[in-house]
Amino acid sequence: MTALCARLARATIIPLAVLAVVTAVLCLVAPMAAHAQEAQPSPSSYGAAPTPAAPTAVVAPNDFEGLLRNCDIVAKNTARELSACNTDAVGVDFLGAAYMALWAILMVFFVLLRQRQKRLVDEIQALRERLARLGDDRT
Amino acid sequence: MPAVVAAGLFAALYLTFFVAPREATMGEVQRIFYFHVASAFAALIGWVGCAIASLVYLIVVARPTQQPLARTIDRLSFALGEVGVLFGAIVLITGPLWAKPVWQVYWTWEPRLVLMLLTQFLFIGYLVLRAYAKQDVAGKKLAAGIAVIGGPAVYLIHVAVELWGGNHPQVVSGAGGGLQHPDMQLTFAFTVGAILLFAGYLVHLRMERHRLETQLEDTHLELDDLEEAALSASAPKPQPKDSTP
Repeated sequence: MTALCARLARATIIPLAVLAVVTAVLCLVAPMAAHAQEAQPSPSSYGAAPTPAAPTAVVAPNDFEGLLRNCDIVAKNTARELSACNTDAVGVDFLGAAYMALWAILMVFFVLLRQRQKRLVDEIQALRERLARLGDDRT
Repeated sequence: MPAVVAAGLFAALYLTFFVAPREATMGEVQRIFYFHVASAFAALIGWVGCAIASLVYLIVVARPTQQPLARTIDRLSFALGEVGVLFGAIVLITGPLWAKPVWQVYWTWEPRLVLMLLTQFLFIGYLVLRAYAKQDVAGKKLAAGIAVIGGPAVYLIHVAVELWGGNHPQVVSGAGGGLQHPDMQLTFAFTVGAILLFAGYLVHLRMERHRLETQLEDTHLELDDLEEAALSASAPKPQPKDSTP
């Protein structure tokens, strides 16, 4: 029974520990890999498509007002990209924290379950031995 | 079984971080969605299962011929309640961590969140009472009654956004749109499957633990009986009174 319990614990604790480590690595590596690529706009999970950035117009020679307008558009687009980048940087921290919390809770749950099961099996074993001794004494 | 569960969770993690595309408006933090919502499903299914099993227990325990079945249902109900509270805790921790960068606040008193928190408290109360009752049938019945009350609360969590509104979008029901990308749909479906499988495995383990506890209690009783019998056998027998003067 003890061996079975130990095997059961090994079979569950080890994959969970590996999962926790893998999650930690994924939380660090995956966002970096995603940032390294060109940002691919994907459909929003809330159904709203992102607003496309305003294109810069072709400016005729000596059209200084047109040049200034283009400067404004470029500045706005840059600000928007910076803001998105900042939001994402903050989001990655929270993503990491959420997945760490998730696996921490599951690990604590499993460790407590394993310890309690081990104690129970030991206690049942000790009681059975006492029962057997009592039986022998009576005979 | 553990290998299948672990493989499912690994695959779900891989899909979440490498296959699902980055969401356009929320960015990376949206990847919490896959495990957060799957955990919420596991919590709600655990609580509904606990409520139904408790109701069945209350019916079955009244029949003297079905006591073994009543004990099994009681163990199932207890295990479902525990796993529901475990995943409920995960939902209530990952939710605020997602809400902060998206809603700018960790917590808001919207109906779904409040109901989720209250239901979590209700089932924690159930677990405390059930653990305190041990093998006492009256205590078990009282705990089962509390779990039965939790059933409608779970339904209210599900329909809270439709009835009272709130910040939560209705992504899964479709009314709020979302998850249009096939890779997002695949990741979500797979993660829900993996988490539910994991939750089922946990229920099985908890039931096994409760079975061991019952076995331990029975062995204690058996030992007490034997020790009492041994004591009375070894005690000196009272001498018969001599009637002659």
